[in-house]
Amino acid sequence: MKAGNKFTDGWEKEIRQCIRCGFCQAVCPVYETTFRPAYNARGRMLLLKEVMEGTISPTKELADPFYNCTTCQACTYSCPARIKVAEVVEGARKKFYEAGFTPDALLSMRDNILRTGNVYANDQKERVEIYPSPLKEKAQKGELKSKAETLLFMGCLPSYLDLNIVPSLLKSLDAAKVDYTTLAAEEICCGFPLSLMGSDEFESHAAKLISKIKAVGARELVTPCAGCYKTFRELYPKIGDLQIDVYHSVQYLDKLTNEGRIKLSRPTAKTATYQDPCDLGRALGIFEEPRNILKRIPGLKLVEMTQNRSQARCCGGGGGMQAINPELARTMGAQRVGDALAVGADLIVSGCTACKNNMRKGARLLPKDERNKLKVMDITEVIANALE
Amino acid sequence: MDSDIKQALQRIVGTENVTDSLIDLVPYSYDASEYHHRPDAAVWAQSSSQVSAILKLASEYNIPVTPRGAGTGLSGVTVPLHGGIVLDLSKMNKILKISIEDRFVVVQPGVVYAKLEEALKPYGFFYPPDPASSKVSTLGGNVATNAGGMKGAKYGTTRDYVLGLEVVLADGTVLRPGGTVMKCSSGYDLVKLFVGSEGTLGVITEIILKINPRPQAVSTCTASFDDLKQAGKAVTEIMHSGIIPSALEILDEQCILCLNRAQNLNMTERAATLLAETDGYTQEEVDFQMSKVIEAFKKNKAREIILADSPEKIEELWVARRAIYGAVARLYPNIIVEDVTVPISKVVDMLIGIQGIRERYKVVIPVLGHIGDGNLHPYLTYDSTSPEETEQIKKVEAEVSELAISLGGTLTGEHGIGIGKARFMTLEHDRGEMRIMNGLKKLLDPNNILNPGKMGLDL
Repeated sequence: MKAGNKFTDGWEKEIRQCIRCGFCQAVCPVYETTFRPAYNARGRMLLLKEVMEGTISPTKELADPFYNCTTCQACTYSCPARIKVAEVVEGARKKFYEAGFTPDALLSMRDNILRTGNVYANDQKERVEIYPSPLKEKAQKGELKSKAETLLFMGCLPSYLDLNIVPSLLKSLDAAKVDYTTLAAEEICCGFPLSLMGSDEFESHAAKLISKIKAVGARELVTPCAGCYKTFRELYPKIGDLQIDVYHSVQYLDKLTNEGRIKLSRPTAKTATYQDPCDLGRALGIFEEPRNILKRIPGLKLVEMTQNRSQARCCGGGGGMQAINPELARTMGAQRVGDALAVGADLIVSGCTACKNNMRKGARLLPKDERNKLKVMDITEVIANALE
Repeated sequence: MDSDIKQALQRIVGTENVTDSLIDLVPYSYDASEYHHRPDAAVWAQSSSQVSAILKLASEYNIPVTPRGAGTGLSGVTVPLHGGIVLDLSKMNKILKISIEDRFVVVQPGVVYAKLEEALKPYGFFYPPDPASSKVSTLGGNVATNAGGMKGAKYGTTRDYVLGLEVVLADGTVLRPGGTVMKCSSGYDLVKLFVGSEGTLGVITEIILKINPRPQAVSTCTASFDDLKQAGKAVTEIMHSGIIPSALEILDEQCILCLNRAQNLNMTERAATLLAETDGYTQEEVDFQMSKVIEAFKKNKAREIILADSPEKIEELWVARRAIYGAVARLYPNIIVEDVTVPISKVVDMLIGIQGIRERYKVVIPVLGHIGDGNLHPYLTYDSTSPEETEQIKKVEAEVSELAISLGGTLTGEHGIGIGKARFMTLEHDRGEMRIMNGLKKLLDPNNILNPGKMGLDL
């Protein structure tokens, strides 16, 4: 066996099946920004092919294109040979992690998660700071309901990074009289970043959260975080059964508005467009629910960006990109905001905190008169504003 | 790469636009063919003056330069066979001018075909050649390989649309042959000389293309035949009928077999399936043309004629056609995509000949073709990890090429010679032609720095 062979174990067939047609290059947001063929699925497959053939060896330099990927899966959708690119990249990241070639920014995120329970190394108690009163006080005193029909899982980004998503979601759920509770300061990171970087500690970390969630005994779990949702839906079943129905807020709020449990009356803007988060859209096929909600808001016109749904251009905020290469992430964010402006939207809505955050950062790269034409919001905020 | 040369390149294009990192050089070693060779460096140029300075430097130090667009070629045209510099032009991606009244556009070479398509749509115009790689391939690459597509029968190939170019020669001279006029009889046609020259004569840095009003109506139909000869007769009859379909494709039995296996489609596996499209400016015009096509199908015992009656149905009929390459790729690890082209009336002879080759070598060769212009794509499948299969496929390749030439055809209709077909150049071109081609090459690139090792020129 040639050196490096173990690196591609299990993926040889996929690697060899790449016909190098380059169709992935047409849709890769990282290539579009860098113009470097290595930073696109075809380039990554070729690097792995040469590792497999023993002509090059895995190094930290080689790991770079595999981590500078938003895992948006646009390549997978455009591949005529239907190669499972995302899985190959994930597999490679595991090997790079084992070999010690993971970028430092991600390793410190890992340390934060394992040491403190959240990606920012913040105090766990501060998770409830974002709750509105009186829920916050109850949570601080440990007086939240221990059992409820619905368990809200806020996620690290909505808890610590964004000021509006959690209060907005709670406002809608209160209006619909949903019987909910939260894990409050006991909530820990879902582990998605661990899995993204290829860490072998994902499983044991996830197992801790699984037992916390099970202990609540709720019938359903609702999260406003697209990354957490994907983790619960796609990754947890490989570890153990959560025994709970998992909803993302776009699905849950679609249900509530459809059943008439909350009524929407006021538009936040005139013309909105929806940014499909990669972790909801391409990953799990959730395209129509958020659009249904937006269409139910009287006076709000929904327009589509040229690339939408399965073709949607990634905002640049996923896959750990904001941590590894913030500048590149922002440039991609600016491009997506530009797409929204091009179709005359004055509001771009997403269902993912990373999208919202990254597009806001991206917007700052645009000239002031351009970026002032448009607001970037999460769907929970748009709904909270629209409540009667 | 020598550090002095690297620094000189950095002075021309900026530090960030020169790379000799392994992670960049590996992908730059490949295109969509089965060939590869690692370059010493890659450079992103952003203007013709930069290209000129790079070529002057390369000439001075005798460094091979291989121009590259999206790297989607199927013949190894952009594989840097002699190492040196890969000159990536994908950052030169601006549409410089759209003139509807004069029917032309001016583009930089890195513009992706689909982006031009998008930009022309609001005007009701289009740029017809439409290669299958249009989503990703660049117009510079299209010009360098004289790319064609499914609409070749009615609309021709890239060559028929190039009105003018800006080209940088090996010594750094910038030429601007042709222009924005619809007609030109002035002197030798230098524009067409560079079209299809595969980066061996100069580097294309600007392109003036003719555009057409976009036909607003289309009609699409498929028909399958139990006998190849009947399908061939149907095509001959269409040619006699006084209309030209905008697309006329053939899928042989092995193509359908691959589609059924890889995509779980349930298509009837007959000897030949034809897909025809007619286009025009009114539905009446399009339907009239299609009635002629269907008449020819019926007269030649077509089974299952399906005429699309909605945009969704049209899309459905095309899905299978577009999925073939991927389906074959899913089933076989390596493919040489052949590109032979024969007179339209000889397509059936070519197909029957390929059947013979298949049987003799016991090799799977699904054939897909633009039967409307005689251009066929036999997919020569093999496994490169098997030395026997790799050796054998070379023989198969030679037989397919010989057959096409013996039928009065050409080695390549739209992909170019590159590396793959270089060894067959003298099959198609006699000594006199080769002498002129070599002479032109020597005149324009005396040190052989531009994409050396291609087109059988310096064998």
